[in-house]
Amino acid sequence: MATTAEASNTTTGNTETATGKMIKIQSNDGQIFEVDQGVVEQSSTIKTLSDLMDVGDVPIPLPNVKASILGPIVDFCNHHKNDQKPEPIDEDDDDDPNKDIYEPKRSDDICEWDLNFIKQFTVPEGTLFDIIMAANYLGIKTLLAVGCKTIANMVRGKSSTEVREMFNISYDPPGEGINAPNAIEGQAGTVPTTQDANATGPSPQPDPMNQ
Amino acid sequence: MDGKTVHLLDLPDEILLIVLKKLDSVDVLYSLLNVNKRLDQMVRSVNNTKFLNFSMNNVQLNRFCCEILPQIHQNIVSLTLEIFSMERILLACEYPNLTIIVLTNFLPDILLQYLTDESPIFRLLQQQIKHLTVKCDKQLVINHSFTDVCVRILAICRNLSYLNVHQWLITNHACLSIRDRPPNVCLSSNLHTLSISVDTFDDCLCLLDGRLEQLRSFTVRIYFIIRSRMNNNNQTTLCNLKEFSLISYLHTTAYDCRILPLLRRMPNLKTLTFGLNIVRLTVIDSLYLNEELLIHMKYLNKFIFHICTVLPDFEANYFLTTNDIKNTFLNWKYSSVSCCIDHFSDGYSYYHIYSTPFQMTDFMCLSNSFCGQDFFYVTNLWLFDTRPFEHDFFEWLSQACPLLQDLLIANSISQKDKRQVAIINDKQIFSKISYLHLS
Repeated sequence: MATTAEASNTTTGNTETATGKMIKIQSNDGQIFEVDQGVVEQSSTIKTLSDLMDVGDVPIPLPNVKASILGPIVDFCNHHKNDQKPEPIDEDDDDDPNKDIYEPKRSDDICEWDLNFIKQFTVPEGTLFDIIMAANYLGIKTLLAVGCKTIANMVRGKSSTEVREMFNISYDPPGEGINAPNAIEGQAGTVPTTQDANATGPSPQPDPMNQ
Repeated sequence: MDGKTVHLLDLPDEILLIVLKKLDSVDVLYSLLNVNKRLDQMVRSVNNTKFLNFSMNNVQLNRFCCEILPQIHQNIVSLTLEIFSMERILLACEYPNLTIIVLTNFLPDILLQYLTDESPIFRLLQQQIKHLTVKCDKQLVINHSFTDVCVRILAICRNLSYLNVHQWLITNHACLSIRDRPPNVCLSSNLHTLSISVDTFDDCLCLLDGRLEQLRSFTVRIYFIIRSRMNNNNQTTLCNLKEFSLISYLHTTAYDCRILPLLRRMPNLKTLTFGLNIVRLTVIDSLYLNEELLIHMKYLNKFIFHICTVLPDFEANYFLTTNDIKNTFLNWKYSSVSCCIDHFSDGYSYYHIYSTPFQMTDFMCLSNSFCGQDFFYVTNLWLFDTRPFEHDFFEWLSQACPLLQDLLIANSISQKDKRQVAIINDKQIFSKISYLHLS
């Protein structure tokens, strides 16, 4: 049975507010969150789905995200909805001839609110990776960047042994274990599924031709 | 989610690659090489092993030299090294594709030991290295030692096409001085880009006397340009030179008699940059620049400058206004130009014209009259005014020049408004002034 979490001060239903139309999203364990346009704009997945589907009062199902992760994500987007829109950054700019190859990579520019936000997610519980995968699935670039920078900061300066311990990775000698060449080929390019087998709903990036 | 705890390796490759991109290549290699096979494959990608910047402790260095470098040495194209670990890293293995070296912590006496025929890295320097950058930060280096190093670099590194040897802070700079040395020093038939500080304008002319025949891009800094020390009637056209940058700090009276004739030897320039304080009897404006200089440079498409004309007030019939000067730039075909005028109580007027957005790192004679946000990239700054620089000015400055590294203040008038802590509504309000990069 779906329950509704009030992510804004509005009542349930497809209401209009000062920030525009309210939209409902549903986690894979049935919890419904109501979000305004400022939140929707930050998630390319939700935005695409809400644009393509005439959702009305029907919640958009998000089968890859559970409520314990979706709730904080809504909080994150609510906090950042008035941020100045960053200039688009080309992630694949390694071949950019104007790029300074000696420029240190940045991961120390996480703002204080985001630092405190991300602290609630941990490696042992796996929630840090849950939030990163959810941010990736929902297309929330700022949150994805915060998560990836957090892992980069954890890794920096550690030896490979320390990294293995920190992330509970077992060393697999070449040609053995789950990382044997065949296994790698089989996994290459695939996204590990955390999807609820029983969940149904649109794919993260719907093909408009097939709607 | 199925209740299973998610691990780092459950992240798809695309996300792991984002994490890797947040780390320097040496951090990626040090922390993630040999962690497991999947990460190994990502870590060994060419982009992570091409350009390495070493700035690390001994433990990390040991692992790199013994374990990591031998696994990736064939990919390495560029190394950034501290001078103390240079030999160890360069001798750790063969680097067949290494062509670029960036050297930090420049100490001339130590570097000179490697610039000899007996040096263990002689063959590498002589046959492979094409790009060399030597960064001199805070060490005080005398001109003689600096010159010895530059001369040896150009003698040994025969394939060098790019040389950037820069130690330049307003308060601490070493310069090349070759005017009293034999004419066969600093010879190169391959060098096409040179960035260097020289002692005098004569040294600049020496470098342009034909010994660097392929030079296409020349960036030169000269602390003080005086009228003349030696006869130099070289009128040879510098046909290959496409980019020229000249920065000088002190006021010069030699613009018309020395700098302008040199610039006229560069008819094929595409990019011209200069920052000069020029003492003249008339103000340099667009009309003057077009008639005396730009008419000789028909290929020029980028002209970035800061020119401060210093004019004795007793020579002026009337004081020009900023509009008078700006109006001359109405049909200016290069980047837009700003203007600022100071009439100081010492009897001199300073007429600044500068390209905006201001992309140069040096600015001389900035005064209380300046405002706005044009100076974001300025790292070396010289303040001058006959009025005191008050707290509000420094508050503006810290925001206008957030990258400031080197600051020289020529002003002996004490502040009237010395604020450190303000108390407003019983709350202490601390100064907003901070210079994060000031050395």
